[in-house]
Amino acid sequence: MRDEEDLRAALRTLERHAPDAEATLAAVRTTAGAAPARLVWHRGAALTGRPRGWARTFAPLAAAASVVAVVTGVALATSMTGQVTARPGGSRPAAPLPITAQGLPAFLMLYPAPLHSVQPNGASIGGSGIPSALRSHQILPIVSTATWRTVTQARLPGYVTAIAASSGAFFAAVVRGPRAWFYEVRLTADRGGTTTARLPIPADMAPIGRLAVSPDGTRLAYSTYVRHGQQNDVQNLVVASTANGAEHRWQTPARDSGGSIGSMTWLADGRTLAFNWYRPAGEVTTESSLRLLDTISPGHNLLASRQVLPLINQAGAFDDYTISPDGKTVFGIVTCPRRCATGGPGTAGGHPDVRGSLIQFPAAGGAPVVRYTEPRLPGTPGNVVGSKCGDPLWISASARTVLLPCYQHRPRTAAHYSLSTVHVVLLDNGRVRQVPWLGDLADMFFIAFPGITSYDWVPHLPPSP
Amino acid sequence: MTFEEFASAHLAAVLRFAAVLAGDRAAADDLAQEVLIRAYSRWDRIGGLERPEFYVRKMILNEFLSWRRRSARQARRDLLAERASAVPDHAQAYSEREALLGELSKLPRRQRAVLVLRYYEGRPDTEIAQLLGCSPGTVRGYASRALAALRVEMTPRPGAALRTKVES
Repeated sequence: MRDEEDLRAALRTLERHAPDAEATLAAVRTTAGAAPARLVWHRGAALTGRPRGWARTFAPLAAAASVVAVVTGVALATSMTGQVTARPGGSRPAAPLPITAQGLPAFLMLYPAPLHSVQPNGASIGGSGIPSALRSHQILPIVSTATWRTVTQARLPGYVTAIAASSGAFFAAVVRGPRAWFYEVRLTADRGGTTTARLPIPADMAPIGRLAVSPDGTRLAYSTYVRHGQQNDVQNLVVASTANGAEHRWQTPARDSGGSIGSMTWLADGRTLAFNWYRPAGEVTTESSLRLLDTISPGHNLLASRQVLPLINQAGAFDDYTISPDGKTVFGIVTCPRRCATGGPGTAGGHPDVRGSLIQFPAAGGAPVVRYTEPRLPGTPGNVVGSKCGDPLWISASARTVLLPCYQHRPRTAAHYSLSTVHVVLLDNGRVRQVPWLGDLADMFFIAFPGITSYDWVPHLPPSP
Repeated sequence: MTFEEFASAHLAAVLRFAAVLAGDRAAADDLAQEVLIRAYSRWDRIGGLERPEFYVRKMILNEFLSWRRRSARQARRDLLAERASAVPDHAQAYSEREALLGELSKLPRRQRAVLVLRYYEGRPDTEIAQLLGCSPGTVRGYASRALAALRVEMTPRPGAALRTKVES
């Protein structure tokens, strides 16, 4: 039996966790002086990932106390240039970054997912949750699309679970301790460094699913995880002002629980949010679809959004869709493990089997067409879908230009060794150009371009004999 | 009292209080910052109170307790349970104190708050009741359940029986 003195002694040991007084004071003065703090917590919890098995297990949350010696209030964070900055309420959105001669945004942010599969509860399969090396901070490269090289980095004070980009800045959800915070990363004037600041958006205790930022950077949308038994279902959607944290929240009605939100994209109007909706959670079924939500209209029912296109249709089955910023064109990659649920391998534009191809749909309805099919490697058996593409990394406003990761794979046959190649192609109004970039891609990664955050993977390439 | 005077005289103690309540560095950091930012922006009113430091403690307490009510509470509980059940190093595995802290982290927040206020801060039950907005009898109830859960033997508190009698 313990006595009260044991209890007193144990409680006193927790004093070691007391925050640094000077740092706290500095943060309080800076933050409270800069913006009216919105510190209300009332959010619903959490969600899940995407239909693919690997993705569902990857979707990270966070756990574990990080001992980040950081950040504060609406906070301060040190930039890669050593500069410390704050994001005061009401500050102006970052000016748009330039467009390259190829018609691409000048920069992208890359988030190579850790190899450990982190589940929404912070644990990893067979592992110990967030790798300790990633708990205190993560450094994310920013790549120039002019050179396809890393030009600078952003240091985020915790474990990054999602990223996004407006036309002028990058954004990240960062787990620190048991909560997720939101940060904005701006390039310095010479674009050789970054400044990072915490946004005045209340922290969320629920795991963050997906993140999307309006083109002008003034509105940030994120989804959170809700656990239902063994499922982790995305059900909550929050749109928050990056200037003052004011938010609007949507949820699925209780009778519709069991669905989940996938990737999200803002349309160019800065008002309409497109998102993939899965029902049951994480499953591609005839009830799963791309939906459009008017984020200005009143109400809190997520399913008051409008369905645009089901994830299973005559062209095949799709893990998800990406919509062009003008809202007129929808893209998806046909992924039928064996046969599509429609009974065949999927057809579009007169092609009898479009598995692995990029399909383009008019959002207003109409016949789908094949926008791109990755060539098969010579010697690939006829019944093997060896070559396919991932979701678009970026789509221009009117869908004229699309950046696409693709790979070719030929399994070993009696006549050939196995062979695999991975590359990125730029589809530009009928022309196909190889992009000399694969980044330092791990097998799973997020890429944040303005308007689109792609979450995809490159398979491990088997070694060539 | 100005905010600077408050910080100079009481900030360190308030931060320690936040740390003991929250139980870990990151949570303590968040708890303290959120409350202090709010307090700073309203200091013209708080500074005029008779005991501003008492009010700030109450704010910290309310913020800590409000975590429990959030709809994301399950996530928090999971995290706490996860921490408590995490396999520590061998030296800690046999540490009675660490075991006690692990069990503390699993207590309902209100019970934990009562223990912190009573055994760390050394406050009488009447003051704890004032901070929590409940009766001293309720405070004793929380304390009693928490101590039972932690298997802590209670030392008879002078006057406790009398107070109970008066309240009843």
